[in-house]
Amino acid sequence: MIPLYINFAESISHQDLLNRKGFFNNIQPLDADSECINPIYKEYLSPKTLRRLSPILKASLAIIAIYKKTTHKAFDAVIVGTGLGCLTDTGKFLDTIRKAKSDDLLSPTSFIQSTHNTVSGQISIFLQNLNYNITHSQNHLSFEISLLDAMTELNSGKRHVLVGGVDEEHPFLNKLVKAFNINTYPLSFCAAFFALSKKGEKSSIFIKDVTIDFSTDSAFDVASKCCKREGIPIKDIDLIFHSDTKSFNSISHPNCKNYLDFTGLNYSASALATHIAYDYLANSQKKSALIVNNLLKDKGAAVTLIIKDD
Amino acid sequence: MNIYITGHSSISAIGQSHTEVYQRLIAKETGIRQEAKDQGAFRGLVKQSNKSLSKLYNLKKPYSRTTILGIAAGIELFKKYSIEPTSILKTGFVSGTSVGGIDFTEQEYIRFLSGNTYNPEVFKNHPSGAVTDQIAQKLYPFDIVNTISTACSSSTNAIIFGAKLMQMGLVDRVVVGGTDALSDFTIKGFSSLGIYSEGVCKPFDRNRQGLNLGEGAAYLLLENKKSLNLSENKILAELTGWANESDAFHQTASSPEGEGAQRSMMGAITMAGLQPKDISYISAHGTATPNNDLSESNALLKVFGIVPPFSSTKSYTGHTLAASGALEASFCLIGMEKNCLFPNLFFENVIEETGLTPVTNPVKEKKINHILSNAFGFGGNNTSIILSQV
Repeated sequence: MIPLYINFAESISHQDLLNRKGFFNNIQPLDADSECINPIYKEYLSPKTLRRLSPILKASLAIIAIYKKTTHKAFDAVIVGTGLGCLTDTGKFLDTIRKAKSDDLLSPTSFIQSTHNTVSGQISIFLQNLNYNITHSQNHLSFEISLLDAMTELNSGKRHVLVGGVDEEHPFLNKLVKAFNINTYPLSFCAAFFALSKKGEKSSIFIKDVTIDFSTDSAFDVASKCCKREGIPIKDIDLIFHSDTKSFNSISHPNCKNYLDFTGLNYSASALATHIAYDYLANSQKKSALIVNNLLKDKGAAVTLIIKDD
Repeated sequence: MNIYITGHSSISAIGQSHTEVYQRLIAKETGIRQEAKDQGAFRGLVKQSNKSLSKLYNLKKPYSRTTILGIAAGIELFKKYSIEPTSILKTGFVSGTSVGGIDFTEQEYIRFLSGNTYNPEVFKNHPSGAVTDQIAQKLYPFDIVNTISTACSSSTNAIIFGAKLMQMGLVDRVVVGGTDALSDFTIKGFSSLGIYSEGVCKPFDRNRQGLNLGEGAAYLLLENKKSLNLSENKILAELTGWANESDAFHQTASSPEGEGAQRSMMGAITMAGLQPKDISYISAHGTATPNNDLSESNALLKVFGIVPPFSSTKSYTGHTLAASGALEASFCLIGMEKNCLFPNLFFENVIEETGLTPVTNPVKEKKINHILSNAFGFGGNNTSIILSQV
């Protein structure tokens, strides 16, 4: 597989991680009533830009603004994964439809910003980026599919690729979660972005393997398969970050955690877990982390192996 | 690596079987009709109801129309071509959709907003990925499944991503395409943009007013050599080039000179190892909005100078949004097989600024070597692919 060196990683979520390093040891599980920790957006984006943006667009563009300050390297590809897309604007436009009388002219803003690829499209406009621009929306696997796509892009000669995992909170999701009796983790917000390249710039941390498997329910089997292929016994992995306590509580491993405790529940939670695992490797002597994502049990599992070079 | 196209199927306002579609295309018979139920708007609707399609394809549960249309196109693909179950081949499914199951969920959500009782179960059909999973379940135990959602270029990008999965060695064969049904959300959304045509749309005509919405689904079968050796499917064409480029101009409008479109067309031509003069025919995006057709015409002039024969079949089907790219690729494959260029209906006068005349009657050719097909979406998403005769 093509290595994906992580040259930049930032996220906005219910954890206070933006512009911070070395947070792994202090990170706490989320409270049931936790909320997204928003930065002061006007430090990153103009008031004119901010006025029309939904939370997911604000968070995504603020992170990209931070990237822009740190480097001049333009992206050859912008790849975004999202399970549910731009929910706030979708909900807003449906409400506009509901309230409208038959001959009313509707305001198009929320419709325009409701399409799933609004985040990737707005990034291209914000950066004046003219290159490959895509949005994958395969439920909880959207981020890992995006990583695979990054590998294909780097393999075809591209040098710098942006990959993001974004999913919004929406009050209606809380209603559904109650109706379905899912009360395991608080619903949450995630915008996590990574600048990736085939060769490390300053970074020695890279995604070595992304294995996606639609044939088994067992996340543990997929993790074992990935480790076997890479020749690393699963017990030697420094951090196992999974989304399925049932599958993993039988293995004895000193550092095996359910990342949903820290990320909360959203379709891009594994993107945030990847940011946290990156921080763990970047600020310690540790060498390896495995993210095992089978958030929707019968809809495929993905395993991401992150390694630090010697 | 050669990527062979060995199958295709579609469902749209001009029917389902290749014979029916071909006959309507050469008879210049549009599928766009005035819908009395829909305040007299002109739409390209699939004639079968959800009920009749569900009966035909033995669907026991209620699904969104987006899923049902996808299943209809998918099952026909599996019936017509050899896609035998085997563990020797890795098989993928990549489907594009713009709004997923919203046609099924929007009314329930509005009931919720209005304080009425609603059925939460319905919302399991909403996510784009859920639509793809539902279609996949009816077709094959795929090794990898993915959904692309880049608005109106979704299914063309799905074709490209399927090819990339093949290049990466993750699949030997892959079903690619997309599906979109009409929903109140989309109908009101495009209305808010003020880009509807009051009558049947007139792509590339000076007096074009805008688009007609349509619905449909289409899938292509891509195979590598290894898969082909086993399936013995006939090679219909080769996917020789593709490019996806951003316009970075506006969330919904194309730049006046179509810079993104220029780069996507040139990128696909270059990847195929061709020159612009090698292109036999262009299946244009041609939505018939004032903005798209002028911008696309400008881009065509910039890339080609002397523009090859081109047309927009949206004058037959309406704009089927996420499905349009794969649907039009399916029409291109029929054209390639029959050595026929399909016309652009309702064209009368050239756009003054560009002076381009599309193909207005079916044209029989000796051989169609290379077809360029365009699909442009919201977010300045410009995609072009090249289908080549083998």
